[in-house]
Amino acid sequence: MSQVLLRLAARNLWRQRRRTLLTLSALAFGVLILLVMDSLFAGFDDLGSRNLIDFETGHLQIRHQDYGDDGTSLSMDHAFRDAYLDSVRSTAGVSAAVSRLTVFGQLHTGREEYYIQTVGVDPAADPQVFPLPEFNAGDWLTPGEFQMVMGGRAAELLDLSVGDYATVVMRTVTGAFQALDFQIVGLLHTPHPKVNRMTAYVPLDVLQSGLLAEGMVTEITVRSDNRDLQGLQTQLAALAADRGELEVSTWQQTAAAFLAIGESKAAVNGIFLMLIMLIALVGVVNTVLLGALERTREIGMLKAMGMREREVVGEFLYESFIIGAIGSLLGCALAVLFNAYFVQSGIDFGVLVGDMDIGYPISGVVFGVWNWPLVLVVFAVGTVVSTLAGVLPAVRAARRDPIWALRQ
Amino acid sequence: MRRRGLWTGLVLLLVLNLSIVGAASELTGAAIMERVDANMHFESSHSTMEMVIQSGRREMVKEMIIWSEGEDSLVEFTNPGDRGTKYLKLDDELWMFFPDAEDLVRISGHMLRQGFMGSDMSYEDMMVSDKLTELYSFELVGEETLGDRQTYVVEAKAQEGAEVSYAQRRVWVDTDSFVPWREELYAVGGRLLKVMEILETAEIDGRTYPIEMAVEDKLKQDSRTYVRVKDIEFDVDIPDDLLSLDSLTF
Repeated sequence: MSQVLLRLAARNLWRQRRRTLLTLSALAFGVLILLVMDSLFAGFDDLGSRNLIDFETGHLQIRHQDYGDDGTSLSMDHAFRDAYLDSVRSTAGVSAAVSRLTVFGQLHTGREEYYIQTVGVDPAADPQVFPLPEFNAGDWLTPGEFQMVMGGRAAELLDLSVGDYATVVMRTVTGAFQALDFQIVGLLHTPHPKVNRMTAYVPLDVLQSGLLAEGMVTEITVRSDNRDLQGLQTQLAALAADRGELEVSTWQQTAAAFLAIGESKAAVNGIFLMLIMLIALVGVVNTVLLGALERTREIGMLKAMGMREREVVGEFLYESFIIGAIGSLLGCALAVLFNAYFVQSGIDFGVLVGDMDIGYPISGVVFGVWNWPLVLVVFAVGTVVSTLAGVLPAVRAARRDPIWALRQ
Repeated sequence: MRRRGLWTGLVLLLVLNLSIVGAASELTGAAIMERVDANMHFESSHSTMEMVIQSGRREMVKEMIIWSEGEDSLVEFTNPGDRGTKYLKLDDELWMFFPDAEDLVRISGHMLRQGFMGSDMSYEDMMVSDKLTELYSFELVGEETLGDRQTYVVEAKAQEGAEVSYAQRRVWVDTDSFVPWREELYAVGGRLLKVMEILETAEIDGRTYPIEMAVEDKLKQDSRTYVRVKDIEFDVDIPDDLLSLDSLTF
């Protein structure tokens, strides 16, 4: 019997193929958007996390425990001696560790004044923790030289190119102004807007002696292959215990603000995605309802010939099931096709928003991410929910008195 | 210890406030700076001022009323763009009130290092504390003619470990009136950062007082800030509650 019902349902859908097609495509479109958006948002988070690790926080960071309190970030207020670096490097699980001295600077080019974060780095060791990004022009730093590598976007804004000089005014360890001249030797092009727009790298030794801060750093950053970052964190914290003022944090802790954006975004996404599904489902309800209204006499006839209510409901449910299954399948198939492209080639986010600071550590190309479990879930939910959406109109249609129905 | 307010910082950030105990019989660098200080000292004041900020072809004019007593002072802007914005200095704290946001902000840390209302002076410059003798050592390095004036040239060097913004200063002080006509502020490496000049003085209550001055940021091209005193009264009565946080929000 159910085969007869299924055939009936298919034939009924075919009778109204334009309407069926419309509903189907609405559902497929909803599913497609949902899956592609999820993939790109995941890509955003991925790139953001990677940017944070590669350019700002590494996997673990050791800083003064009060760093950042009361406007002290980017100042020497909480700088410390990096004698601790060697013991960090020899800790098991640490692939590489470097220290940096990061201070706030005003970059002067004569007419322009520009706020920039000046990062003193060990030119030889730094790339082990913070991989060297692409260069727009020029090359990396040489220790002991008054050289600067800066974000390409900042250089563009200030009309600076390789070979030019820039004066950076910073504060020494006692708070006095110091003005140092650096020659620009390289311009960076990174996927991290903060680096492109407001970061300048100079040799650590030069910066330390310029700021009268020999051996002083503001952070030690660790890269690790160890998956158990918490374990390593505890180990390093034990090492730091005799230097009471230092604190070890994982990149997740340092980047808590960014990760919180990700979480609240997930909630907003959820609502958005539900809305899309709702719109698609209204289409299904509408189709089934219209079908039932149009076929009132037909249903009356079937019932008069002995078809039971259950079977009438079943026939309508087959209809909504077919729409749901084909629509979801089509949506999933299209999403996989689109996503394959996004995973392979990515989408250039820069074209959409330029190098605008959207409060996100991201610029440039965002790549999609595969999320197969979600594809299955969306297919299943799309099919099941569409089928269920047909229940109410189907029951209404089936309950009609056949005599009344035939008179319509 | 002589007491000064924000107003002094503004008008006389050129002046190294000093309190040298003892007679200035010999004109050492420190003694000269004491004479400068004596000329600028007052218990309280009420003034109106104009600040012209020039940056390239852009020019901004700001007007303000300033009350000052001892360590404390209150600045209220009266030009249309900033009307109602107030700064209050209480001892060594600086508070700012924005009328639009009805928000009271304490300026601390980094913010102190930024330009005051977009000018070439930082908040910190204006918060000039009166402990400079503890922070700098002075030396009279010679006499020079500055325009048609005879001046003493006094060099100030930060003492070991002292927390100061400018590692060195150089002041040109009039040999007769002890007006500090010019002051240069230097970075640690000896680079000239700012030049402050007094352009005009007036005789007020028997003292020679600067009424127009210019501050120039030597790292920025075509950037200058002028301060003009339009009206000033010394040793006036200031209502008790005016220089308080409560008064800021009214």
